[in-house]
Amino acid sequence: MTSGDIILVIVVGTAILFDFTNGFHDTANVVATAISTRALGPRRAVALASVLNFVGAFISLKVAATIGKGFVDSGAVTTTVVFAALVGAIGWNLITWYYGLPSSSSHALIGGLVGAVIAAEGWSAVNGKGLVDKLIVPAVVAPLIAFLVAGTSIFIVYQIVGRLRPGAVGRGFRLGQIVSSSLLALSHGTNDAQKTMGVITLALIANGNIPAAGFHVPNWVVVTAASAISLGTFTGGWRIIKTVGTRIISMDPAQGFAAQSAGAVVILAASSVGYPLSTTHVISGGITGAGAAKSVSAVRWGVAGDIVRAWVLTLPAAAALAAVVYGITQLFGSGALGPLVVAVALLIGGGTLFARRALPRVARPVTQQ
Amino acid sequence: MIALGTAPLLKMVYSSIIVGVSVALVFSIAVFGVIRSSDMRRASRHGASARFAAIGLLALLASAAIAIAGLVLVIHKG
Repeated sequence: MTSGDIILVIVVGTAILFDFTNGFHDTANVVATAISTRALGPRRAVALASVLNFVGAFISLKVAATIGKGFVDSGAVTTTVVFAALVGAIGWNLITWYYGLPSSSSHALIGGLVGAVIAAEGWSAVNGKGLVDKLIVPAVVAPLIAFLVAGTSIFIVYQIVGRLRPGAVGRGFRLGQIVSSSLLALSHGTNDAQKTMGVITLALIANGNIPAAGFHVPNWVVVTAASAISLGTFTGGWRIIKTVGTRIISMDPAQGFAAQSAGAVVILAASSVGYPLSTTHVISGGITGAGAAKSVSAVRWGVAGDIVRAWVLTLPAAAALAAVVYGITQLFGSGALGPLVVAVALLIGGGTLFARRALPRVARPVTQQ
Repeated sequence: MIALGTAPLLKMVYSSIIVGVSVALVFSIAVFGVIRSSDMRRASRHGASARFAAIGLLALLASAAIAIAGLVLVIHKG
């Protein structure tokens, strides 16, 4: 086994860990509205999202191709660069999770990739047009579209059912929310699991396992990424559920349905054209739109502002972390020792953060969190 | 002239708006139909109840059709 193969094994392991944290961190947002309106109980919602994330990962590979070819020169990518990108993204995910901020794992991953490539090869290896066209513009437009669709939808919904018995309307839309939650989970699996597939495939190309000219995602990569995100989802992310589900606005089932439907259609439409969107961005846009259409004052704009600040920071912060990680690995030479040392440090650091924040919460009932 | 990279974005925008608003519209009609059907049945207006039930059922089928069509489109594009 060459040092390149050892780094590849570390990269695949780190990518699976990233996918797991993505499920843990992002997918909670998918079920938050259904839980907050009591359309689904927390355990049932998380289990449903977990299964549908797994299924969704098999639907499309366009986003994986964008990650693999769209943002950086694949010739400049080495397995160590991919490793640094993943560690930068996981590090940022852990920091935002620690502080309860729903930032974007997807943008953290792409930011990490760009930062690591810049550290390794300089700015010339970055595809600036690809970043603007396929990441930054869709990242700004998609939440606005989700906001608009959810707002328009809830306006129409209230026009049609506004004078009917509220209890019956609530029951109807809770049933609708089971379907809209399912679609949102499916769309999340479609878009997010592919990012890990794209990164692992990039590492396989860098190590010479796949020819750069014939970009394709091997089946074992698809199954592994689907399983990791599904398991991460099942493990849950109650802190983020609380932020998205109850702190932005208090919702009724019709609003939850409108927000989730808007999120699902935007993510599915983006997946069909290969845009790597953030579920967190889109569902938060949908929730805010559904809230603002009913009453602008119902939206807790301060919390929404905190979330926007976390989004804006994500790309540069993950890029900076990844660049630092790449620099650290180079202190140990170009072999496998650097990534090995950083991987062990990540496990210890991440485990400590998790223990400090998550374990005391496990000891308390969910209702008291 | 549309700049390179704008066409997929426009496609994402218009398909999201059309499908998202359509789903909300037809599902609301389904909920409306079912609730009004129940109200009419309680008032012993069986003809009106059947008509609202039919509207509700058709709207429910249309909601399912839109969702399935959207998924099929994504699968074929992917």
